[in-house]
Amino acid sequence: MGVTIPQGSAEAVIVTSGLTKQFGRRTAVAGVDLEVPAGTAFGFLGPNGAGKTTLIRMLLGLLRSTSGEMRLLGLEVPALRAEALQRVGAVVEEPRFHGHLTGRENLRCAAAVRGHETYAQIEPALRRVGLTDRGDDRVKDYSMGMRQRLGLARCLLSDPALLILDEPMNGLDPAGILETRRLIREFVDEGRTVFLSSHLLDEVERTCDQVAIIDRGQVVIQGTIADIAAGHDPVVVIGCDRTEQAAELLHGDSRVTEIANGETGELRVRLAPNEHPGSVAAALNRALVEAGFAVNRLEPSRVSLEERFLEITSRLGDEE
Amino acid sequence: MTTLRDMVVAELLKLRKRRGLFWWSVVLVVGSVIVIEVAVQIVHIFDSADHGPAGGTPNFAGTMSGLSAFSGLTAVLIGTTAGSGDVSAGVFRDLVSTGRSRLALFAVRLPGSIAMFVPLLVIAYLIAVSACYGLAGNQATPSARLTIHFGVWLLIGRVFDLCLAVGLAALIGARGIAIGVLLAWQLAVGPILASITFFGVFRELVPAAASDRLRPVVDNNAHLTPMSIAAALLVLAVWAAAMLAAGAWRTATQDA
Repeated sequence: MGVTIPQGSAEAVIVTSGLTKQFGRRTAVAGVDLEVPAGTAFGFLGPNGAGKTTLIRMLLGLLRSTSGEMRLLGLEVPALRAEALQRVGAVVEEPRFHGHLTGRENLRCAAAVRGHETYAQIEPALRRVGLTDRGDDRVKDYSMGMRQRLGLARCLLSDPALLILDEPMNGLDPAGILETRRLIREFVDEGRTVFLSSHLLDEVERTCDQVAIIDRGQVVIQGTIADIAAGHDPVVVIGCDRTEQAAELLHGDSRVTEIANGETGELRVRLAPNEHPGSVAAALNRALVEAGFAVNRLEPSRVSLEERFLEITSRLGDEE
Repeated sequence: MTTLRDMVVAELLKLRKRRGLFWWSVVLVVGSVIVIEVAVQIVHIFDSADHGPAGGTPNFAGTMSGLSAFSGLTAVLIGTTAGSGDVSAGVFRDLVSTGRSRLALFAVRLPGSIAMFVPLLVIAYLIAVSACYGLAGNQATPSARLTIHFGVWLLIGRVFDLCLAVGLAALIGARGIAIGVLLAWQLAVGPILASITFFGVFRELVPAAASDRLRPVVDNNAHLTPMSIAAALLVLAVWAAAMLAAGAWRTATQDA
């Protein structure tokens, strides 16, 4: 299967501007500005109820937006929705099928709606997700992992430039997660864009190039994972004896903003935003040794996406 | 056109592969006629003095009435399944997210259900006609015109039932409730309203009265109302169109 990318790999395949959805008095999505570059695996993160699925449903025309603008593959939606969605494959929430039909028959029904030419994609799609041998089994006998893979196969019928996958790792065992992650990276390598909504931060960190974090209906940060993690204040992890006294000593250093106890007894020393953790770590080590502490561990801490995510979303919560 | 044809074939596939629905449809439509004919013939064999053979005009009219009732029930089962199948299976949102028009998704449900139902009705009808002539014995047989009239009456009535079922199930979004409402309407409310003379000419607006007006008259059985055939057809068409329009509106506007 080949794929045609909208002019220029840097072009955004999803653009939203001020996108808002209200259910009565409750605002599920509040003025979201989002830009998803072509040819990337883009993680769309947020806690449960943050507005991820609502935004996806608006993009796909399953829900009407209250206000705002959307473009898919350079085409305005909902005005040019039909044209745009011809090149989009999507799995929204749990993939659903007619349980009494076989996997192959379900794909035939989906292909019928897509257009006659997509029948030719049924077998390659089944082969791609490893369901050729189970294609004639009824879907009600499929495991969750097989349904997820069949959902991906259904996406592939349209030879999509953009795949929108809502929680594709849900219910998968470790092997299934590994397989899905491999497929997603393959799709990106072929030049497709994968928009992946999830609350599994570790998976997104392993799979995606860029992320946006949504909380309470608002996109609070967007960028590469490295950039987002870099936005965190630098942290140095220090292991030594007499940690309480060591913490008192380090509190006197103007470059230190906060000291917390780690899970295994180490000190997690947060530095001022502009400090370089390497050089400060050397100075802190010197101070501790000169004061008679036995330092056994000293390393700048790499902030995970999960820590950053929790920091951002809990900070928002604190403001209310 | 190719895509619409493919979509109708897909609708037929979804219905045909529901084993319970398919075999109950066969039993109710085809099986009911066979049971009626065999039962009457057995009674005739064991008591030919009091009971005539299974064929002939009066028995044919009776078989057609039985087939009308059982096939009406079957049309409701098939139509409601077609009308609500995608939504209840949860695949409606996946179909909408292909970009295909929601109206197109709705529009193929009726042809799909007709494609499933009408062949069964035709088989049952042909069995009844064969029995009518083949087992007539010394009884009078219906004219070709009367035979065809019964067939057309059955076809119009059942396609009308399918229209109501597809439209109502799509409107409600729940098959069970739609079946209950339609059966109550078909078996009780409609016939009762049509037979209450107090309502006068307004009875002609009830589908049961219109359908009754289209039924061939055998043995001077009177119709419920004296409305014209054109008026009866118009009443059925308006009801069918209204229910389909309601279903289409719901399909086009509901959150997927």
